[in-house]
Amino acid sequence: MSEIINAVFTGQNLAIFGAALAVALSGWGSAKGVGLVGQAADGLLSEDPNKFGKTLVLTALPATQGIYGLITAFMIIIKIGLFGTPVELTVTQGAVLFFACLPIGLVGLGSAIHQGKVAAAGVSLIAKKEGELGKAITNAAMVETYAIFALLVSLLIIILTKVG
Amino acid sequence: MSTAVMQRLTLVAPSSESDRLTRALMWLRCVEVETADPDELGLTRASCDDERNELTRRASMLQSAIATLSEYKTSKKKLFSGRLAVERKRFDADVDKPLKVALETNAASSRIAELRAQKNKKQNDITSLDPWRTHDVPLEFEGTGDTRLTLGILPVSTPLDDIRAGMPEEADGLFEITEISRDERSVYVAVWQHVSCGTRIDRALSAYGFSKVEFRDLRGAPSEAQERLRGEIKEIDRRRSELEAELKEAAEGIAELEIAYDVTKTSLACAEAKQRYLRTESTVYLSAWVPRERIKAVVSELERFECWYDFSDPTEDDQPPVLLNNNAFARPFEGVVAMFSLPRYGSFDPTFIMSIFYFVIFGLMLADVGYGLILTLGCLLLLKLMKPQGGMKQLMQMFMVCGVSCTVAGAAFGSYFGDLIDTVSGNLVGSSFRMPALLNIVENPMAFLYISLGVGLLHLFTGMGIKFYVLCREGKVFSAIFDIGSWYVLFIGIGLIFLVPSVGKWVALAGVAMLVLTQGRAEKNPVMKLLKGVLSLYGIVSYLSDFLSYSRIMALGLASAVIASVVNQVGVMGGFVGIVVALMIGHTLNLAINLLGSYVHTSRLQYIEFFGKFFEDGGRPFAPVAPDMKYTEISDLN
Repeated sequence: MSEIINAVFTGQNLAIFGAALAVALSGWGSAKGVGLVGQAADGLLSEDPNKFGKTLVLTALPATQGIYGLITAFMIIIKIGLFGTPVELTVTQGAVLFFACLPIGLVGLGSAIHQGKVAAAGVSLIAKKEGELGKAITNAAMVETYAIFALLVSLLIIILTKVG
Repeated sequence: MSTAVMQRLTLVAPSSESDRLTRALMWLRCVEVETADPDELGLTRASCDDERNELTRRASMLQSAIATLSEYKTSKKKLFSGRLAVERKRFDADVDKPLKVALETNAASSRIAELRAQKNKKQNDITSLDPWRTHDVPLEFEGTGDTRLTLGILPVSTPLDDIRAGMPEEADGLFEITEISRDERSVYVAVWQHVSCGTRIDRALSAYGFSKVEFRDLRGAPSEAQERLRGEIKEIDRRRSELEAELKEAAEGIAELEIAYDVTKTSLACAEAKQRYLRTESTVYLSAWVPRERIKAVVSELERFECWYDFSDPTEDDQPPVLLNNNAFARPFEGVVAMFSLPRYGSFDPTFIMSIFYFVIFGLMLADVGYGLILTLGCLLLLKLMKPQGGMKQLMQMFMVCGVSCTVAGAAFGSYFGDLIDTVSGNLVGSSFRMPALLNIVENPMAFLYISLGVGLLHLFTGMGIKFYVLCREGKVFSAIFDIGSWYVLFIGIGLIFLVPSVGKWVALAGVAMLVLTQGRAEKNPVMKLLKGVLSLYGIVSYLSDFLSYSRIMALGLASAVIASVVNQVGVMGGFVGIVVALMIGHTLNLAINLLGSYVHTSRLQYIEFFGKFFEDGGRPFAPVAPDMKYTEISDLN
């Protein structure tokens, strides 16, 4: 049993687990958020297909969290040398990299869904007032602030952690 | 630094000049006609409802003709078609000929729709006749003097013999039911009966699910009728293709209709302005807003007419419209301000100061030489080819300008499509070549964070400085010193603590003391004065959150650099082809995402963190009477 635990919870594996979690959670949130806006957008497009370009911008907004998760995962993959020669990681170092993924994973999940809700409401705003796209985007972007902060902390921990 | 100063133009002119005068002012694009109050002056409103209705009708007629003709246009439309260059005198000419074309086009278009409906009906008739082809009796034949013939459908489930057996006895020998044809569901039958049977047989048949079939408009035997219908469809097709050929020919002259549409819409804009005039029997009266620096142009135009006019300053009760008035660099950024809200008339116009910060922050968020050049050159190209107008033009000009700051920041950070040169030379050539850089943001993110927060500090201090200036301008010097100056002292003190702790501590404490002593000055009760003063220190939380908000510059800048490097990493795995694909798809995607992100978040930093310090919103946009052009532009601008 302890052999299995030792084999699974290596420094490398913990870091990879973190990278997987960062992509999975934030991607899950973005999928949900983009889905919410997409549904609202289709409703509007059924009445006025010319507004596709405008709704596309709103639909794309909650997609960024998934991208932030992807960046975080790639930073870890590069950090632990999966592209070239693997870097030796202690369990502690692996755990630190794992923890570094939690901010973007968790906040990415939550903020993407909530941003999706705001952006979907923005779609109904531009359905009524076409000129107010800018305000709809700005309101949705307010939610994204927290995903950006989470990404910031995740990236700083990964970059500043010394490995190998 | 202030919104454009407006002057009120009051004008009286003979009614006969009203039309020409309105047009002349329209071309200046700097006169906003106010809706005058008739009661105040005891005049009546100049109504031009008839003219407006007629122009609206013409415009919609032209528009639907243009929509029809553009479907029939065979000559290829250019991808980036600019506007038609038209001389100004065209806008004074009549549009009778294009209107006639539009009328004919709309008639032809509705005729085509009619023919299409006729063809559909005839095709349905042909199909419904198919089961009856072997029935060789004319469709209009309903029987002789003593007999009656009925055509109908029975469900296939009941055999005809059962039906025959189930008929009333007294009808025996007086009726005959014959099958014409059958398919999976139905049997098509002809029922002959003697008139003496009355409705008995009909009732018995309907119990078996018989339903009568009638061909009202068709004559002759079914197969003949089908032949005739086919002939008629051919005739319909021929007439339709004739009409379509006519439309195709007319479509070549679509430009004339587009010009006529703009001419009509422009006349409509004039009529809308005239609607706001007041009139006596022989004169019109109007009151309008003109930006002060355009008065000369307006006067020189008015001198050509027989009229009386006067310019005056706005009074206290007036709400003049707001026109932002900036230099060439800042003008494209006016759209960003307008998206938030226009500043109140006469208040501080922050566009120029904001544009500098926008330029810098945008550059830091999308710091890359490759992306910056694509942005600048791409926007330049689109501006030349598409000739967009209004908000779209402003946005493109702004991105074009911001592309420059991206390029400069990219060069400073050594980012050329991320680390493309580094990665490619390392993987394909063998020895990696590093572009020179002042700072590598991926390897030294903390330095980038300090830069971001430093820009933020400057941004916030500038916003507070504007409020300081505005308060001083209003004569509230003490408010400026107490409400803004105290915070300056406090923040400078906090900054000094890190450099010269012994001095900084005291400066910071002086700031705190200033706040505690002055912020409760509106209260009468001394206890409340002190309490309010102490509570004002809580404001430091909102300043701190504003300040930390600027860390997003670093996060977004780092995100675009890291995504670019991921694209390059994945790209080189595919060798030379991989690089090309990575460049095309990956970098396009990265540019698109980060362009949106940089635009949105740079705007946000202006709106929340910067404007929040001083902005007075609620301005009404200046809406001068102007030509309304969708397809054309004026070739002889004077």
